Amino acid sequence: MRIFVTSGAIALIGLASTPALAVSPATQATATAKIFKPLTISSVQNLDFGVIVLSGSSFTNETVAIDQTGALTCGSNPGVVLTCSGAPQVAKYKLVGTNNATVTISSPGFNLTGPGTLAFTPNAPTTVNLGAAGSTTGVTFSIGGSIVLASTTPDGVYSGTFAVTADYQ
Amino acid sequence: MPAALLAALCSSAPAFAATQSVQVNASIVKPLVLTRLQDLDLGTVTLGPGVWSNATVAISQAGVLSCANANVVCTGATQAAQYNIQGTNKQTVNVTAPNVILVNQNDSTKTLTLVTDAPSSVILTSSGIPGVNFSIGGSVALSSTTPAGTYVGTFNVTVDY
Repeated sequence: MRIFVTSGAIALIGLASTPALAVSPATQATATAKIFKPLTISSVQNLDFGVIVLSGSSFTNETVAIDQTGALTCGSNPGVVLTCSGAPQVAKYKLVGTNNATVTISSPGFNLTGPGTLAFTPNAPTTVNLGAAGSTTGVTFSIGGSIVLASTTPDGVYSGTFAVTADYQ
Repeated sequence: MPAALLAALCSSAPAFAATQSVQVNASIVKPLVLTRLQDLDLGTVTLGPGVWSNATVAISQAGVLSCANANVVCTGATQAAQYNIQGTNKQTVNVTAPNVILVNQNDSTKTLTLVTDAPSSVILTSSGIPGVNFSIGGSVALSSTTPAGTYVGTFNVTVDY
């Protein structure tokens, strides 16, 4: 009587019929991809400080600034040191891209040139959200800026060109 | 009735003796523990202008991004997914990582399929802690008509001996 043969066979069957247990983690990893449409930026209107008259006899460090809403600041004592007139306006750019995407705006400072050189400091938003119509009508944003004048600033027409770039965050 | 059957079996047992050896194998293993370590991120993909299709953006198991197609521009931080397995030392563990459906978070009817790139098996090098880490990459195929948005999906990774 060789019963170990029989018991061995039973043991093998028992092992073979044990189901392989697949194990899942308590939390699975996620996978994420952000897909953006091409971003385009176009110029809508130029910035204009209007006409600035150097009224005071001797001064330095008078700032003329136009903020992003178009409000002009004409030095420390408007009408006395500096007199501003004309139709000042901010620069405007239009962005078209992906709906509701946030875009980083870069607008480095540059010089206005003319009879002399004036450093122009832009006042731009750091980020702009394209909103619900970002891929169709897009969104328009404004850039203001400032210049610093002195009584010795050569008079004449000054101009320069923005170097604005926009990128998805 | 069982008694009668047993008696019949006993009476029919062979009279001659024979020896036959049968090997018995039993692998005693620890339960597997699978833990998520990090998520997969393909970063930001900007679709170029024009009409085109089948631009593949992929991240390998090693975390290397492939974004060679001229119609797409890839930016931002990217990473492969990573899991940890603990179990019995020197055991081979099978990894199952089905493709992942990524759903546009702005419009749930728009999806992308992440074709996973995972090891088919991993050999454990320790018993229990620390286990072995493995990474899962994947790829998506994009076209000029792919709707913009953030696409998110969840892996369904399982392991077994």
